[in-house]
Amino acid sequence: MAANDTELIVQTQRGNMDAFEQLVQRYDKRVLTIAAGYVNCADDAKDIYQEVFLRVYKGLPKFQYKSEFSTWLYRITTNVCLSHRSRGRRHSHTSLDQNVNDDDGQPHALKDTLAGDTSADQQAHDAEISMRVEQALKTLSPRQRMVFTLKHYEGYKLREIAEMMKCREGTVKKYLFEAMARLKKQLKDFAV
Amino acid sequence: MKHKQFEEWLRLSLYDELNDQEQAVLDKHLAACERCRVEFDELKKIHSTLAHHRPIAIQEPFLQDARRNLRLRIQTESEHHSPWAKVRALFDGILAPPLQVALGGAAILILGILVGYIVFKSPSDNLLAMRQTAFASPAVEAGESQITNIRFLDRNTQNGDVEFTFETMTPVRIRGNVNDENIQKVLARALVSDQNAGIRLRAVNMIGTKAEQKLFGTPGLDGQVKTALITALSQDKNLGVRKEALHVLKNYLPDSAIVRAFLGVLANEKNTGLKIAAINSLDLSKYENQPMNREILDMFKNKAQSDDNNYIRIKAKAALQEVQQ
Repeated sequence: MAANDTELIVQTQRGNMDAFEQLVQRYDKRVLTIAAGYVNCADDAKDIYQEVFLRVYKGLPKFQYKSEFSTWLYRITTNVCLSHRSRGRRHSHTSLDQNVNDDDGQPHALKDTLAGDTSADQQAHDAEISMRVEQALKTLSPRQRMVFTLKHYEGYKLREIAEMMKCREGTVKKYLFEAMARLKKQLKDFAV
Repeated sequence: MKHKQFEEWLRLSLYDELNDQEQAVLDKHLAACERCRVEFDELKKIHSTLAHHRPIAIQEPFLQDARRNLRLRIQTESEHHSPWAKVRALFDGILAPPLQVALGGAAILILGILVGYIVFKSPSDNLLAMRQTAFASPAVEAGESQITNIRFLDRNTQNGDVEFTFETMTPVRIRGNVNDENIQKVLARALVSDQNAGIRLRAVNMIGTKAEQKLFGTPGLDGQVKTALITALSQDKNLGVRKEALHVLKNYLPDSAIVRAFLGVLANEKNTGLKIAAINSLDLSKYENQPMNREILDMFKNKAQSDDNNYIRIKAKAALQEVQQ
């Protein structure tokens, strides 16, 4: 039977790295997805992933079970996302929309490599909409974008997001509505 | 109920945040309010547009790559963990908070007594102590030290007494064998801390001399030196230093930390030449029965599929085919 989070935390606190790895693997896909949804850049998403679990690794010896491990982890994730400075501001980065060459020398977006196959027409259509949406998302403040990512793409409840971001549900609602209003304005001519 | 409340509910309804009762009230309102219906339709259109933009579905090779980098980073962090931090953590674990407070108070008291003693003890003793400290060093007397940060504290024009403080930096000259553990550690220190890339390059070259001798049977690599080389390989800003570090480290394969560092190069390095050197150094057949095998295979599969360099993709595919036969 698989160990629960608490058992894995206790074992990690005793120095068992296998337990830590199990704990990481239980949640890391979600963390990486949140990070990738927030930054839309493979390099930046990996940076965030690494920073989150490094903080978890350093913080676990003092973890006091005041909240669920997952709540603590996602709180760290949102904090790291919000304070993250894009690699793009330091040096060039690989955007998930950037074209890369495949085996036959044909260019395609890196995120398609990550996400799997769809038809060429659909890809082109989605790529255009994605680009417009991405531009619109960039106009949001970090907190608006974080709330929007967690709600719209990850489907968390408002109260869960409030817990993750350590703020009131009303505040989350405010960020979400502001984000929606701004996106609505930006995408008005493009709505299908 | 105010109209503004319904506008809020329209948005919440799209995110399934209304309870059944609220949803029923909203549906009834929508049936009667043209303005809200228009607003609701617009919001649904925006949602439909946004649904086309599903940022990323994380695939396994991408996740594995992130996990590998994390392992490497944690390993590097653990190796850099200072002994003082370990001692502090040990005490944190043993001592209860009230005892920690008491010990903290005692430490401050002792520090206060010490500072008081230094400040208020007789000036002549102080001067004597300084003289002894400063001129006891033959290097200072011989003029070999660099003297910096001189601060004049006092000057008596009648008897000529002066008081000042200064800092000295004395060059240290070491002559020894490159296999000597202490010499290796000094070089390793320079490799990770010197600001001058030329000096870092010379340091890694000299460490490399030992690597070449190792081929003729001298002992393996010291842990600190290995960590310094891995740090240089993964983090040094100078490409030459990174290349030389890889050149030295490949002599110590299949050490698992070094293999991980090479996988890190394949995953993160921007310079194609260095990535090619890394993939050429990893002979898949040597790791078949080793715990690292899975990670190396995953990386090779990842590179075979998605590396932007043709040679690396071909090399990775060929290596995979070779081990599958």
